[in-house]
Amino acid sequence: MKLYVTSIFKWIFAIAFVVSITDSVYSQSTEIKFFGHIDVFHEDEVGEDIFNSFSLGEHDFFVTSQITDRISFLSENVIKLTSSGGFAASIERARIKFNYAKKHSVIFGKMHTPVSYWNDTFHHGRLFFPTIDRPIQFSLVIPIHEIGLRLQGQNIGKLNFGYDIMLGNGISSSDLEDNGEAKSLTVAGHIKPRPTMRIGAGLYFDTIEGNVAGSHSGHTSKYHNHNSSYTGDVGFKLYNFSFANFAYKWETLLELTLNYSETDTLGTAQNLTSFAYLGYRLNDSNILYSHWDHADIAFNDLHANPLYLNKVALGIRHEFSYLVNVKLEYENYFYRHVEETMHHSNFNNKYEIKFQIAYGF
Amino acid sequence: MASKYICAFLSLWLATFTVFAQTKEKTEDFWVIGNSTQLETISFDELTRVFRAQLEYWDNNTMSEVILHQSKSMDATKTAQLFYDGSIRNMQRFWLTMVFSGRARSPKYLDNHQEIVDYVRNTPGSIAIVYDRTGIEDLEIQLTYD
Repeated sequence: MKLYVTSIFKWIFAIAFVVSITDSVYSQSTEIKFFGHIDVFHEDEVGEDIFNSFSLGEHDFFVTSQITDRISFLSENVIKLTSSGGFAASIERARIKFNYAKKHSVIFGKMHTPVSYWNDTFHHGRLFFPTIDRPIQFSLVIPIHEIGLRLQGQNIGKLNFGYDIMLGNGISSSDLEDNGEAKSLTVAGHIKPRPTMRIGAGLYFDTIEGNVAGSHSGHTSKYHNHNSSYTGDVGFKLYNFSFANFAYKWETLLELTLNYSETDTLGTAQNLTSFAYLGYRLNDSNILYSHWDHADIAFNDLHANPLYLNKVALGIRHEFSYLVNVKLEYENYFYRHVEETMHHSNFNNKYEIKFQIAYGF
Repeated sequence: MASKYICAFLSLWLATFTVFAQTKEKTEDFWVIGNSTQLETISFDELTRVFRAQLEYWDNNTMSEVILHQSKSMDATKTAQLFYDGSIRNMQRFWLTMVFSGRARSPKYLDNHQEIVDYVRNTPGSIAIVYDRTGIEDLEIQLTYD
């Protein structure tokens, strides 16, 4: 779907005006927090040498400020590993929020695309992750970031309905600019029928101009294996359903994502990814968990390359406090090789044992 | 094929939730205090919404601020039993997660009853739970269980 924007700025100024006349004097409050993680892993891949390593993870400076009683700011600046082995700083979130009615806000800036539960909740804070890694769908189809304008509603009615409608630059853009006229559209809604539960659905539409994988997706990871030989536009549609219930004893999370990518040469590719997590709290400090991660990227997809992967894992999380936890995880990767594709030769079945310490303060 | 796949997993996980649905424990007597909330009474369900970060502004447009006892206080355990499955750690984790996701403001953690009463008295929009009636006469919001 292509969205052509002609009057965004008129809307922005109108909203800012409404906010300014409803605002009142408020003493500003600012909080700065820091999050990080360190990993250790052992990898044994069929046909490859065994690999052991310590690894320094992302380090995250998180700032929130209540500037007035109607305007707040949030930023997340991450120093993370680059593909060349060094580290680079990245502004992962920088957003200003105007509350124009009690349960309704408009947000402007860079943020995590609110299309799925995980992407809307955990961001870069490994301290909050129930597992060591993100679901594999983040490396394949989820448009992780967006720069744009978002309308948000929260806790409406007895079911605590919430909505997010976002117009953004899309997958092919950079932090600096978009590479074309088309804009992405995210529409998501959820309900919270119980205090610990959230059930949601999200839609995402974009036109990836020139099949460019910009800086706002995980679309340059090793799993995505971005196909740069195709340089036409890609029509990108994504539908997500999520169910999360992080109660005290039992934690459950299900993310189902159906993605269609359409090209003018091989037609429409249908990709299905899913993530299922179940955790059980043994006591106040220890959670035993398992998860299953699945990706099925069709052979005719020209944005991502074909992949069929099942990953199963068993782990335990120990919480020293709400600010420090460690996770130990055993993961098994099962790839199915498809003869029509040449890219699967990059991946072989393997197992990994991972340990992570995640912290924040 | 895809629809069968999706339905199977939806059923499985919703069933998991149903089987393991949890119940809440109740705790001892407590009183609700607030400032400029425009409330004379509050139901327990509404109070739960406030303490689960589901209310940002009161009906009079005053910004809400939740006040909690510091984790080392015995009263923190009582509040955790009311709204956070009895775990102070769970209470702290819940609020930090909400703040990190950008969907709530941080609560204020204070050391003792007197500090909480003083803070509420001086802060419009604030709300707290206390376990002692000393000095709260002008701040008390009647709790109902309708």
